[in-house]
Amino acid sequence: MVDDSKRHRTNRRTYIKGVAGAAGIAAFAGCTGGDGGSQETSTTESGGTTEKTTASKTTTTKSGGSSGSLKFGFTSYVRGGSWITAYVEAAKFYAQDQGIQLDVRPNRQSSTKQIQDIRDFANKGYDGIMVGVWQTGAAESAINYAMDQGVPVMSTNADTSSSKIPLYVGFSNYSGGKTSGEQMVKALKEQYPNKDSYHVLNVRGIQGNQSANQRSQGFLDVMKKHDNITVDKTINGKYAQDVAQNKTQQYINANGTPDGIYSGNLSMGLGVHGALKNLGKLHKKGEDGHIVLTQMDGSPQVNPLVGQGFIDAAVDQPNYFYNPIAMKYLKMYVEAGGVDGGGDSVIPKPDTTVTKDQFSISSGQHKGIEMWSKQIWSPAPIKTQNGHPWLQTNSIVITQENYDKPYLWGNVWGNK
Amino acid sequence: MSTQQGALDRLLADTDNLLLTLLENMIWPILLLVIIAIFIAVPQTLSTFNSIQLILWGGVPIGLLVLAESICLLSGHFDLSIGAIAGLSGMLTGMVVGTCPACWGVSHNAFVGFGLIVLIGLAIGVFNGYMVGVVGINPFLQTLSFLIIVQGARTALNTQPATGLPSLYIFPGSKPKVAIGIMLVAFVLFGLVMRYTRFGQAVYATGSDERSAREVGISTSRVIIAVYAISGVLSAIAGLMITGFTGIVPPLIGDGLVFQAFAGAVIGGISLFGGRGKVTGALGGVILIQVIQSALNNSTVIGATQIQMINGIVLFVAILLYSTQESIRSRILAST
Repeated sequence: MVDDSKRHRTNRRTYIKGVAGAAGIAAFAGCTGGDGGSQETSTTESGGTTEKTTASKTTTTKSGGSSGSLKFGFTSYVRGGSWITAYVEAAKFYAQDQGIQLDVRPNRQSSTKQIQDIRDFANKGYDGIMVGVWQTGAAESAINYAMDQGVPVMSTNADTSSSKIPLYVGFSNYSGGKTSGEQMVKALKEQYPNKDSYHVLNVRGIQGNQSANQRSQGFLDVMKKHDNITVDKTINGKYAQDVAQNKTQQYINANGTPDGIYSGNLSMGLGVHGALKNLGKLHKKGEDGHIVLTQMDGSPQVNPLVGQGFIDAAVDQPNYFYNPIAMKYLKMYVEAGGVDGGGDSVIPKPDTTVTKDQFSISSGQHKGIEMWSKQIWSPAPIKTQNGHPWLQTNSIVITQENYDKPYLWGNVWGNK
Repeated sequence: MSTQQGALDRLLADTDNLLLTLLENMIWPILLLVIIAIFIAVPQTLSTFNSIQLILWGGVPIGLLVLAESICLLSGHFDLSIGAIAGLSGMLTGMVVGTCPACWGVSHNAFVGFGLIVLIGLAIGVFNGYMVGVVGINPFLQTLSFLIIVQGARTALNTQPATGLPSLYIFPGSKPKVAIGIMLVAFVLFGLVMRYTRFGQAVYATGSDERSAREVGISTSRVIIAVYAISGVLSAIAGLMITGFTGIVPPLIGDGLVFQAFAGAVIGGISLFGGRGKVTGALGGVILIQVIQSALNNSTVIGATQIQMINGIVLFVAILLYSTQESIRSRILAST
């Protein structure tokens, strides 16, 4: 027996699939032309076959009228702060561009609220759900419930433990730490070309926290590969600016100045900057006495410091791409048949790599810039995590060459 | 013979008094021993005047919170919301006087900031005190709920740093000597108040036995409101000091400080059950914690992963000493 809501969803998806198919044929026939451009063609590698999908600003779903437009639910942490604002607002902008109805619900820092919303999205027959998971394990049952109801769920930024979801879109903390380590090695050699050996400090996040561990380990693994670099000490900065500042200034005052310092997040990076300032040891890149600083995360506060030469490199996330990527895959997934049909055929397979030539997010005018015009998330290797594919977005290294570019979220959302 | 007996009794009484005084001030010899140990094991920690200054400067916010908690404990109550009050008052004021994109920028006047931050702390403190002292809500439940409410309010306001603060507003926390001076003045001031004023004696009396205090004419509800008000104001000043220390309002301001504040007060000899302990002892507790933290942080032998465990051991030793002190004290008092 199929319950009414499921039948309703199936009919709705069949309709969407039909409209998408018709529009696809029209597109191949060169008849779309609705908005006079901005057509986007993407290719997705799928199990050895190459599938071509077409989307444009006047999307197929839009042309089908309101009954044919997709309706997605999105639950996430949404409170304050420019990072999270960029992450959430980009989803709204992209949905608006694509004619997708998006219902954004704040989780109010509660996994219970998030679970209720996921179940509600599923029960109300939404076409897909995106989840910025609040607590990895907590949302699993609700996500499985939605998938069982035939409503596809994709996680972004923070992953779920559910193996049922078709895709997770996010950044790798370990890779970010590794990139920061590589930037440290490069900057040390540039700053001190005549030195034979280097001493560095690792300021890490909360002990036991998964992202803090991965960010620290990625950095340390790069350092281990270089016999001439010694990590003098790992300081627990607890992801807090005041803690990192206090501990770093005391350490440097007691033990002397290292050649470089790596910080595991933006707050601790600013703390290290403050510590060096207090100790009178803050010098610009290339100047005598400059201590090489690399860190995770850019931000409205960090980017100018990179530009001024105080911070050598910051490894940033393409956070405003996470939801658009997931939304586009969700749309393709639904149009290809969804959970009960051939939805999985559009999802890239593990151990492949998705590049901007194969898949891209159409740019659009938002906040005074052409948003998504540079596909900084690419290339993205497809890994497996918690039994489902993970589109591991690329990180972007902020340096003096690009610190003021509009494709860095901190330069767009921080200036609001 | 009777003269000899009297002399012996007086000697024993003097010895007991000496022992009791020693027990009450036990933090100072312990601090001395720890400092000697640090000089041997991690000498770079205290090698220069600047090292000592940096340790004390970093300890200013927690010092003020220890003082806030100590006064609450002395009254037989406690306040779990002190760190959260520091956070909310700091963030809210930062939003008002800051010029960051997320800030409201209502005024860029430092004195508006000083007044507002103290007012926020005072308001929350008075409300806590009223609910505990007058309405009769359990202090644990009242201050726990306010820890959650106030911390949530801070997060709701902003999760990014509040920047662009007036330079005069950050001045007290940004200058080591000024910040340390403020902390020391606060300890001396409250040390004198607690020892020499009627209010101080009323706090001790309320903490020792609230009913007896009421019976001798002390308005215990007023004392409790005043104690929480002081706690709120000191917590807000701690928020101001953190702001000055970093030059901005960090998004996690005040997080995780309440347990350190409890530890500092207890290590400093403040009784968890109220009515006993000295504010100056609490200062010793703050210094001890900061010196140990600094030594662990500065040691190149001890890793970040081991520090938390060692911190736990230090706290455990402090609790053991506290228990021993209590039992010795009880024995001495029982024998007199």
